[in-house]
Amino acid sequence: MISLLLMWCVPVRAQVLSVQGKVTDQNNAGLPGASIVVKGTTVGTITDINGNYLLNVPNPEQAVLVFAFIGYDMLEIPVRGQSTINAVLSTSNIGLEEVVVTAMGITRDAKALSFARQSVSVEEMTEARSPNIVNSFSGKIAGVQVVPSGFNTGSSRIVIRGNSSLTGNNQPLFVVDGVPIDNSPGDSGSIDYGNNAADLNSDDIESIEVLKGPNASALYGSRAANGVILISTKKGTPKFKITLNSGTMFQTLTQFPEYQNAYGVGTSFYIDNQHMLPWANVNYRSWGSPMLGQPYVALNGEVKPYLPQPDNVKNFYQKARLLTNSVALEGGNADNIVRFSYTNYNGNSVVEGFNKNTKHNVNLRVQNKFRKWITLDTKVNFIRDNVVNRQYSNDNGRNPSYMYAHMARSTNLDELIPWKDELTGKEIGTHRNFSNPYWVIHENPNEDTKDRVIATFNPEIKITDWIKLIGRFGADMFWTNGYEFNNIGSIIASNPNGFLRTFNVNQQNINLEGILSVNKKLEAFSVSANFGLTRFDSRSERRDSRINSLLQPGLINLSNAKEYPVVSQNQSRKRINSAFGALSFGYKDFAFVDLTGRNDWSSTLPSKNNSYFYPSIGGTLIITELLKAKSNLLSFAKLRASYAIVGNDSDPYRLDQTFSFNGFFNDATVASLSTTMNNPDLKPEKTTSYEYGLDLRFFKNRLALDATYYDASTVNQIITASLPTSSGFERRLYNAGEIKNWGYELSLTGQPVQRGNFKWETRINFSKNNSEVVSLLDDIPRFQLANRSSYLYVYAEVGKPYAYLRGLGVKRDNQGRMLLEDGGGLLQKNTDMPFGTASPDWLAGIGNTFSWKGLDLYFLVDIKQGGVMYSGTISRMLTNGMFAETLEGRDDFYLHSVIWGENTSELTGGARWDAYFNDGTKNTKFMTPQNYEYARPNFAEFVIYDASFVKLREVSFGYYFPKLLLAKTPFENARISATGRNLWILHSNTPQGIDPEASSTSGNGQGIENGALPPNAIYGINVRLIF
Amino acid sequence: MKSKLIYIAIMVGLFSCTDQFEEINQNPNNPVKVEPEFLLTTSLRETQNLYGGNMNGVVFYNYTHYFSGFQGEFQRYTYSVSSTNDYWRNNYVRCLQPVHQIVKLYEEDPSYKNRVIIAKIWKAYIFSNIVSVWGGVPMSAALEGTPGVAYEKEQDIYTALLDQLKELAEAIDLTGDTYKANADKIYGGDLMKWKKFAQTLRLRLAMRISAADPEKAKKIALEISRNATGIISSKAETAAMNWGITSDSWSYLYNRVVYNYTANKATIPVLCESLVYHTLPYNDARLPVYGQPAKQGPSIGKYFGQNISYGGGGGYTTRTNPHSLLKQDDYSYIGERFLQPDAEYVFLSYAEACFLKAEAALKGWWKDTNAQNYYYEGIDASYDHYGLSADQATAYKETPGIKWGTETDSTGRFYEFQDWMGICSSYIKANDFNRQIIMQHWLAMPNQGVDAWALIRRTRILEFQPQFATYDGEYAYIPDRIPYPGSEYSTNPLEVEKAVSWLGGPDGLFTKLWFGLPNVKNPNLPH
Repeated sequence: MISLLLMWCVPVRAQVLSVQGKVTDQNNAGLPGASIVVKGTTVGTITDINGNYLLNVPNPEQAVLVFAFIGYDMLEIPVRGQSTINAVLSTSNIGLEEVVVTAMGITRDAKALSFARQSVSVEEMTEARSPNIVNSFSGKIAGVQVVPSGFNTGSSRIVIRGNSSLTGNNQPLFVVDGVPIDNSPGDSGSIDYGNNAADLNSDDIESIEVLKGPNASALYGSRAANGVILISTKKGTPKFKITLNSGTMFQTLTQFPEYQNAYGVGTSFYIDNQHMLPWANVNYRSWGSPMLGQPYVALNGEVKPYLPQPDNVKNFYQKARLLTNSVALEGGNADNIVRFSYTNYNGNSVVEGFNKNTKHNVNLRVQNKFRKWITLDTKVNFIRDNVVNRQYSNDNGRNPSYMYAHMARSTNLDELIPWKDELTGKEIGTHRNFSNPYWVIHENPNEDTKDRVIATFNPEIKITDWIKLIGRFGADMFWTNGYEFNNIGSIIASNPNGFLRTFNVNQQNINLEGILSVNKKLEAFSVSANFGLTRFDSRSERRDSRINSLLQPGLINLSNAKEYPVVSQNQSRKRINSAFGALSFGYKDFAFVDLTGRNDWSSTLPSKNNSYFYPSIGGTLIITELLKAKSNLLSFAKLRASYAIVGNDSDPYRLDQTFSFNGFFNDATVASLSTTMNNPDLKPEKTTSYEYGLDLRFFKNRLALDATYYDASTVNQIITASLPTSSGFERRLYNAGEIKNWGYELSLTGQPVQRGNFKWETRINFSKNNSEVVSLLDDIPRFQLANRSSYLYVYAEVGKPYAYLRGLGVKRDNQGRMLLEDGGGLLQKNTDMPFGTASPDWLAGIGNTFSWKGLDLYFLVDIKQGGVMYSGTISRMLTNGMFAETLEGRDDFYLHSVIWGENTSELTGGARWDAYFNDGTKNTKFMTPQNYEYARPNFAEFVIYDASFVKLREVSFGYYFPKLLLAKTPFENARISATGRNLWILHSNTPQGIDPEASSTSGNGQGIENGALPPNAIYGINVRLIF
Repeated sequence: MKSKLIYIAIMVGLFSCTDQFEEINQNPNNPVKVEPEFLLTTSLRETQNLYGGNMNGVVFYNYTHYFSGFQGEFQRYTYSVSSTNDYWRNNYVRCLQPVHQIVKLYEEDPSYKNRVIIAKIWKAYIFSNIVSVWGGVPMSAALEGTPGVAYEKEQDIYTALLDQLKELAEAIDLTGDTYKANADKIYGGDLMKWKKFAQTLRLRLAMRISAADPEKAKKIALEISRNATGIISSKAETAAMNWGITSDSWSYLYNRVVYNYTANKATIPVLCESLVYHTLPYNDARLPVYGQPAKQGPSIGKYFGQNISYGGGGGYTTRTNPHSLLKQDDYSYIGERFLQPDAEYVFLSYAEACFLKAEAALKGWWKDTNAQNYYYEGIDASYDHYGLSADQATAYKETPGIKWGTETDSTGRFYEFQDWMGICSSYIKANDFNRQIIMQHWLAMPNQGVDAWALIRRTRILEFQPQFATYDGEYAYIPDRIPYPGSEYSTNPLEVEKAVSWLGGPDGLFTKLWFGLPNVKNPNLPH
């Protein structure tokens, strides 16, 4: 846009040399629209669609040309009287002279910004590709934490600068081409339907800006209190171009827990003590006798030797394939540019038969300039996302990954096939507490299809040279249809008669916006002012039909009902009207002041409180310009500070207390009051944030340091707090509580080596966020965010960091030794033992790119330090005697008890609590390892781990085919790369096979792993051709 | 320029004002007020599901010695925090809140007078259960959505309930409004029956506190006795309701034992040994109603009950353990009557009313002293309730030990009256009238776990095995209460700690409540 403005003021003077040339990127592709300015003047032009330019340069002997293009390093070339100057711009990693997109799509000079923002390199997203775009942010932005989804089709969590809301949504707003996009998580039930931003296609993305705090996002208002992910999609260029991209990726599990392989299915060292020839299906845990090849009746009824099956879990998993193919066509003329793309994604899962995902993404973008003063930017993006057989998540009885925490060490996979008795239709091959995974895969199908349209229509009217009117009309709409079916005949599930559930969800979010934009430069002063109005309308509806009993096996149809279906309908509607303004003043090139103000009117708040205003103010000083202190060492120095307030509203329908109808009981209507007590006096939430920053560039911009300190506090929170249930309600809505987040972010980018054809670029991000729950309600010290049975709770607790874990531990004496109950069998309980916070101490990402001629190597190391997690999987494996640790004392006990026949009171071998009695005497009593391991997992303490990790997050090794080679082909540009994600866990403190990143939810209650997939890696080949 | 202005005008016009906000924020899914009928049905059903469902199976079966099985924490006489949280929440949120809402929404409107009274009677019934399980609990301060909810002392709750029920029973206007028959799943809207229910519940509560506050109990029993027709006095007046035949309405036992048999077969509840040695040797015709002959195993074809310790206790006797290595399927299943999807759950029966009268009369707290008649009337009522004939009842009433004042005849079959270890017996000595009444009272109401547990704790006269399958290897007697839920400690700590201080002991399973008697230690076991 700056370059467009420049076009209006081409001066004509004497002693002028006409200079022409071509501006290209590293791959010799012409860069259309690049700006060329004579340094220190307003003389300049832009390149045409092939990257060619022609410019009349005054003072050709002294003049220096400055070549700039968004996303590329600026380049200065002295003219020295040459009439042809070609410039090769390389991809920028130091956004100094960048023009960046900020809140509301307002483009600004990066150097004038008073708040922290950071852009994400898009290139790697399309190569070291993740099935969920949110995962691609991990390690790349200081202050951003990503909790990846457990399955490729699941919900990922992203949080910027910690959690600002105690019980509400803490994820940032996604804005694509000026239009807010829904990113609701889909993991509220036993099936994870994925977060909605996962629909975004990285092949269509031009650039991503992350606006980190309220200071940057204040203009977006309520929904941006947690920051904004600002995405601009590709617009295309006038030059006709076809881009083909093909990624073939594979996914495998890289680690498995350490299993014991000595004792098989059974209990008390028996396989089964009821049959002469013991049966495998009487017991299900691995507390049986030593596996010595003795005959027993296996799960499928065959008599087999009782032997260890060391790979029975590993062999269940396969190599998954994730294929992405895209084609993009673009072209046009100076006034009309069209870009069309189609991307197809096809992926499956490491569990055969699950999460079969097909995604079609069609994108059409048209830009027209009708008259001199009106331009239109129109985009229609259609997405179809189909998933067959989503895997049940967490500790659901139908999640095979969780079931494998139950899998007996003596069970061979072959015993589980066939999974169905053809005569009776009943599930076979199960232990009593362990569903046959093949039954789950084949007899319990589910499927869902989401059709989504994201459309934008953005006209821009130029009223005068310095006044513009910008309209943004955006629609984000989706329609989801799906079903979940459980066949008749399951032995374990609670629905032996089967069930079918179908659902339809539709949502329409419409965003209408008008902005009046004024840009004026008067001598040393520059003024930029933007005033706008926005209306955001959201409607959604969900309909569910369910039959709880089937007539006929296998028929997936609602009419296959043995009893009346249960139906429900849930509609939701919300509107926010807003008026906002932003004023920026610049003095010369070194002082800038930003002011913003926004007023929201939200339909979700009571009329007396539904209008709320919040301002922000920021200032920037460019020290190097101010003090003329620019040197070879210090190229640039900037100080910035800002202060912002952001308000936030609520979900709809939280004012009045309502009833719901719950069907019929023997023909009488059943109705119940909502268990959350609503609040007719809700007020908006308020987040206040200070931010200070320092940007330094050294060695002619070869090294850049960006440091930010922030301090934010959210008060008047709209909290759903647990009530004592004796109050007749479970929760109540309050305006209360305060949470503080403060910390710093450092990002260091540099080119340590740039010699000849060799270049080493490095990007280091570091962030430390501290949080403290300052207050909740009077007399209420904590809120529960999540729990795992009654063993482990995740709290927001006054005086503690957010997401604080507490739970059942062992009571200690004053020397810190575990205490036993009298009798010696039971550990004393400490029901409220503190375990620490799930929030990390700090996060870091180290990215490096080495390039030499056409070759480049990129890798990203992602580091998380601190934060604790509870592992439900390990807990279950201890109880079930699966885990190698459960061997402790087993041989010993077997010898003493089973072989020597010592009875319980005189045992001299086995497992023994390393604990003391109240009177200080040490425990000497031995017990059976089985009871020992039954008791241990009930204490969360024994399965709490430090969740720190160092991961090799992304790797890509690529090659650009040389121009010479391509000359005889139709291709203008060809690149092949070998890429990988999560290839190596360099360090973790969780037991092998447990991913330190695993989480049972994408919600606020972090710190619980429960039936997650073991760590996995994605790797493959990506090919890109442009012609 | 003119066309530019038109564009601008169109764009600005798209943003209108906020006058539709209230309409937008009106909940299109859920009403703010519903019929009292809906709420009554909801409360009745939730109460049936809680006390006749999960709490029965998990907590009460092993505490009342009717049935045994479902090995778990409560069953082994310890407790689970999450279950305790659920039970507490379900009582207040699911059972009480709907009837409380009837009162809140309709109390001011005289045309709903009786329906509001019945809602209050049902609230009192639920509180009478809650107080028997926990002791002091929140009552008058409950249900209003406040963050701190005041507890009341156990004895104060009994006093308040006894007063309220009297007032409510008297306030029912027999010519006034009624619930629709379809909604009132207990009495079909019959006002007189509700009046009697309230008075009979009062009698139950008076007798429940007869050991703790005999004077008050006597005063109330005498007062009730002056209007003998004021309490439940026929089979038709028994307060009971049935589950349904669809998956969302069928009974807990059907769901657990029949429908999900395969998944649960290792832990299904079966007939308890104690119920067998109290019925089989007396030829009680109700035994085939309460249980089925074993279908397999060493006692195939016989009534064979499991002890609540799943065959445990072997270390305390020299007898051979007949339960060793048996599975649930080797025992007598619970009687078919109780396993039906649309089985009945009894809240308060005619038989119980008779035994309460008999007990009061025996103490001299009734207008007459004809305890024997009431005792026999109760046996008849119980037999009739289970579809047995008058002849069968007569034969039973003639059995030594059952016949009023007689002694059990155990000649040559002494072991039949005992548990397998020989430490408990159903033997009745001559003129042990009180034990006769209490044994019949207990025998009349299998599956009414909450009521039977209270009866056992306030009388401590029948002999039951302790729990040997405890986690710490010791044995334990029938618990006195269940602990306050963890959720109260985290959300209402000041109040719950106050309530604990009233307990006179730790907040555990074995701190005696005010109304109960202390456990009687078994003389045959080491202490």
